[in-house]
Amino acid sequence: MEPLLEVDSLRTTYRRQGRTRTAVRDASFVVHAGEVVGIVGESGSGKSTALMSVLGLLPPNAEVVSGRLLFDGVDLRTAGEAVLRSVRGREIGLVPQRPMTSLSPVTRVRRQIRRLLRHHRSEDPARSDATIADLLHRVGLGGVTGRLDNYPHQFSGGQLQRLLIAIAAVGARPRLLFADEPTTTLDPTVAAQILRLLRDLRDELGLAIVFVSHDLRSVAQLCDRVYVMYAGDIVEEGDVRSIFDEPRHPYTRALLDSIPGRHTPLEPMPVLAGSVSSLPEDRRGCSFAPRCAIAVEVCHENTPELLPAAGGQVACHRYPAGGGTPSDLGEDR
Amino acid sequence: MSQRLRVEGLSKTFHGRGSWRTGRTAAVHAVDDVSLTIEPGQTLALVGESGCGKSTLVRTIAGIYQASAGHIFVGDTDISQRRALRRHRRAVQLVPQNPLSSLNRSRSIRHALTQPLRVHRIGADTAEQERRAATLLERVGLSADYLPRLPVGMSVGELQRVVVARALAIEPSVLLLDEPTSSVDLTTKARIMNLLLDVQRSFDLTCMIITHEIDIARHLSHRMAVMYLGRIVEYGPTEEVFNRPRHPYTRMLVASASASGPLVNADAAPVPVGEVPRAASQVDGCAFRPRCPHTADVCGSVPLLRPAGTSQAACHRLDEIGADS
Amino acid sequence: MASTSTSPAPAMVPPPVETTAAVPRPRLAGLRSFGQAVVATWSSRIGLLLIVVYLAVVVVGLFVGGDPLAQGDDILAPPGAEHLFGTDQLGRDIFARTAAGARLSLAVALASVVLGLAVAMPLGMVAGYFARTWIDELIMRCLDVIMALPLFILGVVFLGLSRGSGGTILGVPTPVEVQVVIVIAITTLPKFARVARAATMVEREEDYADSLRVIGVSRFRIIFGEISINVLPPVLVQAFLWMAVAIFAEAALSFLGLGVQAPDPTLGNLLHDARNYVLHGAWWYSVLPGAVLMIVIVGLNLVGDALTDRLSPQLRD
Repeated sequence: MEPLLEVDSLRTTYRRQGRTRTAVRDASFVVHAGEVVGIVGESGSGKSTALMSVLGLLPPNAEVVSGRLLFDGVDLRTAGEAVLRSVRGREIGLVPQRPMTSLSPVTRVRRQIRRLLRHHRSEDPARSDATIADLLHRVGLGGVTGRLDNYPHQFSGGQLQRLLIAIAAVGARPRLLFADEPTTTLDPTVAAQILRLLRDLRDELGLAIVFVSHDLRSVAQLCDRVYVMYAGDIVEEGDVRSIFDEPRHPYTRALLDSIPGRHTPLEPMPVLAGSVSSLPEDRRGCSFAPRCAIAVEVCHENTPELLPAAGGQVACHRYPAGGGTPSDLGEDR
Repeated sequence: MSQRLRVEGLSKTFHGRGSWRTGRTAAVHAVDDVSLTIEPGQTLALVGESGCGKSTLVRTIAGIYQASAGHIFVGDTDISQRRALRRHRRAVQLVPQNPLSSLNRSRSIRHALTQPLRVHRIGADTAEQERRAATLLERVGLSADYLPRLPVGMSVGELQRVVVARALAIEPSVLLLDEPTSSVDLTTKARIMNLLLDVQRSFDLTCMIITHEIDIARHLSHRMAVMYLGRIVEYGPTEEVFNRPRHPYTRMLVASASASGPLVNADAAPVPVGEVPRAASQVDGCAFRPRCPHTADVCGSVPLLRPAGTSQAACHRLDEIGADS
Repeated sequence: MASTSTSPAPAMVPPPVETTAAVPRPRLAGLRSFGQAVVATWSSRIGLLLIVVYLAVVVVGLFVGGDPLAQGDDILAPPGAEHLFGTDQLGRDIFARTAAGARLSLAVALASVVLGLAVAMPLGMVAGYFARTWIDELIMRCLDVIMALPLFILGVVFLGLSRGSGGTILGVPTPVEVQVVIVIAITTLPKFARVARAATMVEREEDYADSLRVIGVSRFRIIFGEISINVLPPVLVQAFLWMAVAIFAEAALSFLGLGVQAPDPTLGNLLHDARNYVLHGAWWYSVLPGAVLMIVIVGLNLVGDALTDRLSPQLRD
């Protein structure tokens, strides 16, 4: 099947104070229609940058250096701003990280919904009151239709996030939805509701979703397939069960190992040594090698390629030789 | 040496944010009649979502807010009264939620760590105090190289360590931690948790940890208290609360964060309902009633904590809804 | 019980120590960035140049300008080799008088701004720390009263009263220069206090103010030992801008005859004397001292704007 989105060798850099830092280094990933794809990584791993590169929404000091960004067969990187504008919102929706700051604080909510819908669908304003009510029912916000003349701060974070999902995923009827850490600022019980909502929308509308998160639990609950990113590299790809049940890359194992519920309470947890910030820009070899417990000479010399492995792909020189149980990796105390 | 922390009937009411001239507006009961005991050397995790009053509770215990009612005992000393002595108050120290904000950005780490020593005249002279500051830094896993640095440019994990070191400087017996892992990355989280476990044991501290992440609470605590709209709704040994949650709200929380079993079980988990209420909202009777799947007429009155197994829960319908979910 | 014993905590296995290779940040890094702001744009560079010119006039006049009070035979002579700025109606060298006047104006302005800061900053910080309490209201309403009084009304009343009592304030004999300093300092109070209050309220929102209370640091120490460091930059920038206002205020008071009295020169009373001779064609008498006054005011404003920009968005009064 032809993928809906195919990102091929994407490289995005940031310039800061005269220095160039590579945020995404030659990352490739695909999203098929109707599929929920998770991108997992810690802050600075480049997961959000990759999404913004596709949408052409990078800050002025960032630049897509190379790569192809094929959406429905069209390369968004070379297509130009006009095409991008018609794709953003209408073909690819975006659910932001902070619902509160994604709406204007001084404009009534109804007006903002109308404005967005008009942009996405050339909606006839006379009809949109009924449309809006319908939208809100679809995302479980039927109770707030009477409060639409209020301002955003009069809604809770969970309500605003539902509202934004209603506009981005239902109102605009895109084929692909980017959800950039949509639950990080929400309380756990509300976050669980939002995850369920996204999954239901995928089932109802056949929407493909890219879900970017550092929260492994959310990823496990929502996604079909997962990419793991570390320091700008995609280090592992696989369907959600294989990632969580049989992680192949040492970094994925370390991530899973840092979930507290998997360890004896009140005992020290295994800890990944070192930090990602000390990586040199012109590094050779595997980005994870300096922190990796099973790294050997070749890991420091050659960059590993993402190669097929059972149930997915992994970029590790030590696979499958490095196989072992999660807890004998990456411990420094 | 660690001491028992006992909170009795503690309430904190905020009055409307009007000017002092224009009179008071509606009161908000941020913390409402909370009683807790933490045995010496043990950790209590206080779990709840935003606006439930958990931060207000620790800030009141730490003495930032004056309690509206109730008592706070450290050992046998009541520190809740306005005239409580400074040397008693200092037995309780707080690690605030945002480590960068809790350090003065214009002051060096050296200044931050020696200041409590100067204030309480610990250490004979400046050199001695500086040695102690260096020792403290090393105890929390940072080298003495950090002493001359400013907070700017340090990672959140490093800053968190500095703030913990500062709280330890005056040798408290009770340490309160407000969301200690909320602003750090996943792999850093594990390190901070290890640090807290280590510090608690080696400094023999009585700890209270606030968090909204129930699995972190489970890993770090002996007992757990669940808070909802200013009140404790469930309180008991951590494993008991986690494995046999009694209160409907606790069940909702545990279900939304069940990480112990297989992770990939999206459709099996019950989905919580309703919104997290704002602190200002007033509900007659049980505060959880609007979100509760088990409400009945009896819920119109405020439920009190009552024994359920080895823990306690504040729910009228404990017997009807059974012990296990 | 947490005792004050000096023994460190019981040793356990210490966690791995993270080291840092980073060079300690210099304490003056903040000030350095202000310096960079001043040389960053053309307008601020020009401003800096103008201030240097003014200071040069002051310094040159101090060493080689001659006696500003010495009278000569050359009356109302135009600028020339012997008298750079010409002479006045009494044959006094106008350059010497301008330089001496510029020096006195600068001294009065500096003294009034420093005095204003010394009084207003603590008041503003206390008001900001206790924002929206009766303490805040008391302080700020008193300052509002001052703000309602125009400089010249205050000057006439204050200087007139002290002159009426033989040059004394509350029975203490006070030179007129000091009286002018006090008048100008009083007018700066509301502005400085407001900036200090606003900056303190921002700092009060940070966690460190409360954290230090828990540690046992007194409120006095928190306000004046910790918060003050972060409040100082915006207040100093404001003070810099108010140097121009103070120089101008001093000149205006002297021009109206309320300030420093003849024969001592200030920029204000030079202009006061000169206005009688404009129609006699002695343009240099008013234009040259006036130009010196303009140079410093424009210069201080240009540099002050650059400093304000550097500070934003902290300073949006």
